[in-house]
Amino acid sequence: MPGMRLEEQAMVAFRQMLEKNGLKLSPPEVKGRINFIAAGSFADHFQDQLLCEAKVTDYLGLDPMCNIGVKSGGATGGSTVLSAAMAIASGYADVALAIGWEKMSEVDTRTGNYYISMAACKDFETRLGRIYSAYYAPMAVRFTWANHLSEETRAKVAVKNHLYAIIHPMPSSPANTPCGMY
Amino acid sequence: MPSEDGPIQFKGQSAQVIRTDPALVIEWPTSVTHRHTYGKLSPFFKGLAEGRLLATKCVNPQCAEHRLWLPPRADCPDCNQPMEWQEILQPIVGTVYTYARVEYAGAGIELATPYYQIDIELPGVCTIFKGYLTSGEPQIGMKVKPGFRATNPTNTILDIYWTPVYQELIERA
Amino acid sequence: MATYPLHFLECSAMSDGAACLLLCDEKTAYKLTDRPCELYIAGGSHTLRVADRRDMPIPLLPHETAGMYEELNKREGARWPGFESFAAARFAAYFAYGMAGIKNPLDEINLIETHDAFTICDIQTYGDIGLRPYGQEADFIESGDAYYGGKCPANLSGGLIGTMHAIGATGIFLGVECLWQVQGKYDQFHGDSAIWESFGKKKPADWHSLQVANANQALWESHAGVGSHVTIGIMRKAF
Repeated sequence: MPGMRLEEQAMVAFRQMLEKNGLKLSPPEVKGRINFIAAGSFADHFQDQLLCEAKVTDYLGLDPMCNIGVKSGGATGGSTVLSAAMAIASGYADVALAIGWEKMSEVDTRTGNYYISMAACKDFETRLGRIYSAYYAPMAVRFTWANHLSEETRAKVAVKNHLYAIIHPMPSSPANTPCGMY
Repeated sequence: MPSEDGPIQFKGQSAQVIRTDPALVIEWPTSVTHRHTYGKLSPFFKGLAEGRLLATKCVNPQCAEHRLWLPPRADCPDCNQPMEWQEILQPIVGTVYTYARVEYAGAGIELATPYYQIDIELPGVCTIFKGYLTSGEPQIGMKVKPGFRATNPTNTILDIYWTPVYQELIERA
Repeated sequence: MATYPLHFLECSAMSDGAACLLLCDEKTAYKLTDRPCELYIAGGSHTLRVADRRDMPIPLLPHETAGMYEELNKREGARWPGFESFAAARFAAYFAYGMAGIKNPLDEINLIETHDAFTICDIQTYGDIGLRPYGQEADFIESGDAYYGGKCPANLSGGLIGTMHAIGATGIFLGVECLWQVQGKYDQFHGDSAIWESFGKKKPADWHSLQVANANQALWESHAGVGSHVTIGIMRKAF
């Protein structure tokens, strides 16, 4: 999706949150109450931009409030929410924004796969495939062997999720899998 | 005399425009070389080039874990004390714990695909060691033995590879 | 085939995207909305290299019984979590259920959003979060429990496989979908023609609602790679 830069993507989410959720206070009032921001993305590599959290906080007009960049691989989103939750639960903040983004379309698939595979041990694993599915696949093989998991069962998960995605307005490329129905 | 383009000469390459709709998209090439250190694990990689498999072991009598670590670590994660090197001596026979067939690999892949990535259980080692097969097809429970790229080392983990134990028996017959 | 045994359609696609959640203290929550939700959230971690995961005792969830995994442990080469399960997810669930006072997730949670980067880690997770005992994970999908209309529908958002995996946004997007379900807003955000048009699409003629009736609690899981980090969040209706 080359239509937007990463902070422009973040703005779409931020405005939807403020404007479309039937909040009882106006967007400027809600925004004015935010006193902590947790902001996360998987890898600076994809965006080819360090300190994206600074770009995003600035672009949304939330500076000079404290913002912290959060990373924990694919769990980044959850960790970002956890960081915001800790700010509230501890009494440090009254209102905290948890925001996340990724811009993966700027590299080709093979490079994207290599970047993701860098979230594996660089010296002992990455060179053995440079692709993330090669780290999941051994788990699939062993789990299948141990639990007699069939390909059909795995396919049911995929088909179910693809079918639910077709009636979701937001995905960029939902696939209508013609094979198999539940 | 200032050049036609402007008073300060542009010394790079113009960014190529690859799309204009829905937004202007340019190509932005990058190329990076790191001078990466193997640090305290240097003996392991030197060992591979010599055809030797080195592991580390915690020797702290107060620590409960005394099995070998492969991949090796310089410091014990349980008691944080420095570990010591111990060579795993030949004949080395491991058991395939699990595997993956790599067909579509990421950018920069240095092995010809398709090939099998395998995870190997070794006696006396508390972890499982990831590697690759250079012949045969893996099965969980299959026995494998290591080979080393000692003649033209790559100076990476790829300097150790595995082959099924039966292969040697077939070749000898 | 991506990497045996995973087929291309079992893998999520790299995407562009963004998502956000607004959290606040209780007083502010009721000022902002008539449909606030309580959030319980906890995290767990494990080694980056799966193969480094030494065998360890399984932390039991409230509804599990001591000794129930003895046979599992006796299997040849068995180790927990090994390559089959995720200690990070089990830890996160253990603490999240403890905080939220959940005794039996299958009975008390109305829907889940899991991190289905690949079908396999989804299925593995069903055991980690206690929807089925370890070793019986496949039954969660085979029994129909995982489908809309089932006991605990999973990934009504389409998840990562169906919808998107703009990695930094994913773990927030799943929380948002949980929130909207518990607030009863599924139709508003998935069925409004104007929203479809704003994304340059047309609402399908056969569109149907996946709103779970009387959704009281929803759980989402945010998971890193092969389980080096897992966070589990629970949205609970507070109106």
